[in-house]
Amino acid sequence: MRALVLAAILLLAACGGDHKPHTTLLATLQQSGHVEGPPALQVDPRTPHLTKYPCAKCHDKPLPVLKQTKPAAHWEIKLLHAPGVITECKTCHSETPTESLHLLNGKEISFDSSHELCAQCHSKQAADWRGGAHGKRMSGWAADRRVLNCTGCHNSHQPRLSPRWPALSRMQAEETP
Amino acid sequence: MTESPFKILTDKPMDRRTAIGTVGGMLAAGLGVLQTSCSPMASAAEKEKAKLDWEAYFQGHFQAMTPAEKEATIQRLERSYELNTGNRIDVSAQGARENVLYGYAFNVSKCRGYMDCVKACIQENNQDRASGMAYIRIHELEKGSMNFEEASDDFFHQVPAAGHFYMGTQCFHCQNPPCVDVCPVKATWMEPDGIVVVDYNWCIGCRYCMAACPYDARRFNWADPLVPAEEVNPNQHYLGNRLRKKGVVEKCTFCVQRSRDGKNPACVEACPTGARVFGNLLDPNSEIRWILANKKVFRLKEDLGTEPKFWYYMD
Repeated sequence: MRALVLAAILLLAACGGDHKPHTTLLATLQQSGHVEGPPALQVDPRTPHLTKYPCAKCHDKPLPVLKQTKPAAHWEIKLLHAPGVITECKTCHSETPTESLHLLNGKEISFDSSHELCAQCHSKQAADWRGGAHGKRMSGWAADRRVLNCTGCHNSHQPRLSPRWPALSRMQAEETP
Repeated sequence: MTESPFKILTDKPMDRRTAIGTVGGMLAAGLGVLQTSCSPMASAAEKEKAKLDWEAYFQGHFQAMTPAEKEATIQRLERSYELNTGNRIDVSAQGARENVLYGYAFNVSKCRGYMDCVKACIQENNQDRASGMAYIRIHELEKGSMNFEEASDDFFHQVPAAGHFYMGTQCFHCQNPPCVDVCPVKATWMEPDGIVVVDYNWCIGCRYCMAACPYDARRFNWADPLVPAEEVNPNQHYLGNRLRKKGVVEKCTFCVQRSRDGKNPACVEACPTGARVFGNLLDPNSEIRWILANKKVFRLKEDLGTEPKFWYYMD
């Protein structure tokens, strides 16, 4: 009902009447409805996309033993994430059990909840992500809020996105004859 | 369109000059059509095509159509396309949802100039490939200024370029749209869900709306739009991405064929950075409303009072 009244107000404000006081769209919207904040996110799981998972496929022996084994694993990973702060694997990865990550307080979390780990430092980004101002949305506007978590877009070891070429060139585009 | 097209002559009071003009116009346009439909040499398909063209000529204004007339109109569009190309399209005339007013937010900090949105928009909306038409422009601006005169929207190099940021513009679906006010034939209007649309069959191509738009959001078809048959998006809306013709104006419709279906516009779906947010402004718990409430938002040329439903914000 309230929304209907609001719609009516908006239509009145928009009809272009010459002598009516003009209510700004934003001000009108801010008066509407009860704000509870967007509903909870449904985070797309990450584990189906992990190529070296489950960890136990290889991590069947203690780490010091595995480190002696050839060929070496994970050699391609270069850690370029907060240099000087995050310097080693075990800041985020657990040795036992290997299937999980851990927060700074030691709490074990799944790879599907890695956003909780990122949020420890990136609280502003996390708040934007929960609110709707950061991150890729996977569902339509009218559906549940399905999102990718941080590692859906960022490589956790090198989180900065690399430059790339645009999807198309507009250089030749010319509309008028 | 079961009524005789000549009914408008008999039903409406009309002075002599108007009546002669109307009949003359009908005859001129109908002559070719009649020739085909009456010719014993023409095939059945050609006759049907001619019949459909004849009916299209007398098509009324979309807003004045009854639901049955809308249905007949979209069926004719579908059949016409099938006769002409052998391919099928699905045209919808789905109306606005209740209690919905669409709004859009664009994160200036997140856009990296990839132009995935532009590409997706062209494909989704069957835009003319020959002229390189695009509803969306991505402007490359130097950090520290917001001067569109010095911006580039035809950059082609690795992005983001050092020292630059990116801003997309398209139709802002103003709540107080000047383009609608100036249309002399009411071929463009704002729908109840806030989308500004064009009836391409009613547009006379005068381009007043293009002159009135302060945001350069509208595009004109100088020639018959070219979309390769295999690239035509068959999921169409009468007020959206259905195929246009020469001499009419078109623009972003917030992908009316998608948004009224609950989906995000193609640009939002294509953007890999999440810089584009779309939603219902009347839902206080929508993401777009969260952004309006929690971010420093601004709109372009706010002082004009056009009330764009398209906000920019920064992290």
